[in-house]
Amino acid sequence: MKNLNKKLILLLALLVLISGSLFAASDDDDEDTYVESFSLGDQMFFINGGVFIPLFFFDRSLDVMETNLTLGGTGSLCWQVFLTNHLSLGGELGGMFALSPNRRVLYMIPLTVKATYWFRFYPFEIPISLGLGGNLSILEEAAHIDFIAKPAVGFYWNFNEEWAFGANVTYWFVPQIYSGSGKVQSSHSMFGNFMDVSLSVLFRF
Amino acid sequence: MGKKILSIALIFISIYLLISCNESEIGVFYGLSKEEKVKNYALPDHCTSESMIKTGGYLYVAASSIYKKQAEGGELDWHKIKSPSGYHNVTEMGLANDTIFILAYDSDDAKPYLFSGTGDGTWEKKDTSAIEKTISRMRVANNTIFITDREGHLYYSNDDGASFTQDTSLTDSKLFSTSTGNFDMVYGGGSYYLNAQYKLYRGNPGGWTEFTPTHDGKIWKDKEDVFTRLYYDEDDDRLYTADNAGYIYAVDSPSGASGTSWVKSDHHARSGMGLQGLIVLRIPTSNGSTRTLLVAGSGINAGHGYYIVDNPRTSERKYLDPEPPRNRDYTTIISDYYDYNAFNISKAAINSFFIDEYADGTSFDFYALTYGYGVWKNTNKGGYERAWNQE
Repeated sequence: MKNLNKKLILLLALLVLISGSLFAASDDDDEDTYVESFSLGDQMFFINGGVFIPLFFFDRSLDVMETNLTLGGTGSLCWQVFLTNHLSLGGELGGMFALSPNRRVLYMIPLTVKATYWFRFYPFEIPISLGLGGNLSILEEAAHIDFIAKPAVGFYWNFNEEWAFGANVTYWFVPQIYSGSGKVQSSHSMFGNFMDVSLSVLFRF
Repeated sequence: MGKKILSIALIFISIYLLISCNESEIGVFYGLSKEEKVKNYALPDHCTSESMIKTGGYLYVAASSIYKKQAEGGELDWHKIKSPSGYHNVTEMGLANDTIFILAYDSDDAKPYLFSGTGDGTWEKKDTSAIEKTISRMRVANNTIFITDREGHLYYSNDDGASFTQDTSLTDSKLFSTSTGNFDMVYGGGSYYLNAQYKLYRGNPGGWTEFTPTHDGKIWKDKEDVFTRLYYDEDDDRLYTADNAGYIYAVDSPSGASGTSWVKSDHHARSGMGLQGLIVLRIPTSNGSTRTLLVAGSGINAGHGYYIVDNPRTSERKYLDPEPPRNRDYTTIISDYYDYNAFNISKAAINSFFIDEYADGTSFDFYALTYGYGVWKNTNKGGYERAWNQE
């Protein structure tokens, strides 16, 4: 029993020493480290590029259909301004391409207003965002503007106070609605579901 | 700053709206969900073809080389058969008394010569010494072989190409202006019909009567007034022709018609676009009726696929009923059904069409022979749905 107590005391002492040294080191680092803190007006600019993953379509009867698209490419430019330390708001202009079975190219160009909430675990950050806006789909001579919703989650590593690098996973939900009043029948309305996985460079200013 | 952002946003919105004005008849996602990879049945995708025939249960197509396959859906793949040795680029083909006639170019002097064969790859060069100038075009109608030369003269043979006679009965000695001039010949209702590019004639070899449609001045601005193709619809005893301005002309009981008997379409194809291949289709529909459609292919100067002319009739002035011929890009011949694989043919200039009627009397395939976009087959996909596929 005595031996056990001695061991416990030694272990506690060791932990205290280790933790003391860690805290000491942490304090040293803090002297050189920029503490993330943003306020209204601070701005960010993102450049994103990655892989576009077509998922599925479903129609108004909720019948799921293949997109028949290949993996594609995607990219976007995003600007945001901080409203609070954790909340930012801005806009994003994106683009993607993917090929049909007969090598026709589908282009989509979403333009969204994007709100982001930032979870911070220094030196990492996890932004969760939602973009809402319009999406222009182009397939040869066919083109259509639709609503788009783009929820996304990211993971960023801060290189320094200005630059950060990370990755995003973004879901694209595009309800393509035809009223039937134009050339296209209303039965052609489809809901597009896509995803992209992108790498990102973030610059704060 | 705020104004700049607003300006940028407005520019983007304007671009969006500008681009989005162009809309096809098919939903973007919907079309993708239905798209299937075009199968290829051994014909070159970018071949030019003008002639197809059917004989002995086989289809033959001249697409630079000569290809054959079983008719009436008997087989899907085409098989190349031998061209005459030392000759290439077979672009014209006709059938007279179950014998196949082709024009093939000599590899040495690059001039076309006439050959006959039975489709097994053996060919006999015909004696065309009576044709003084270089051969230009060939048509076969009612077992008569017609040849034009590059000087614009017309020759014909009623003995399977054994001999040719120059047709001196035409009012103009030179009817065909160039080696590639439009020339067409069809037969129906006891008469031949001749498209001599600037004039139309009816009658018989050696005895023609002009019955060119009456039209006001130039058909199309400063371009030459050129008629492109003829099509005789036996069921209605009606003759159709089209011109390089995109108008269609029709005449009932053409064997006795005059130039004033023609009815000209009120509307024409897309501006500046001539029409070329013509065909009349009678297609059963899901409600039990039959739709009669005139299909007109766009000419070589345009390449916009084909137009559907619904319910063609000559009883009224507006036989292009009731709208102008609409560009049915991506669609089959029935507007109820869409064909998502037809995007390529929608860009093609179509030389001619060919119907392969099945023995059951109701089913058929029809083919579009294009300039540089290969040969396309429109076939029934089950039910009343039809679809295009590149051969």
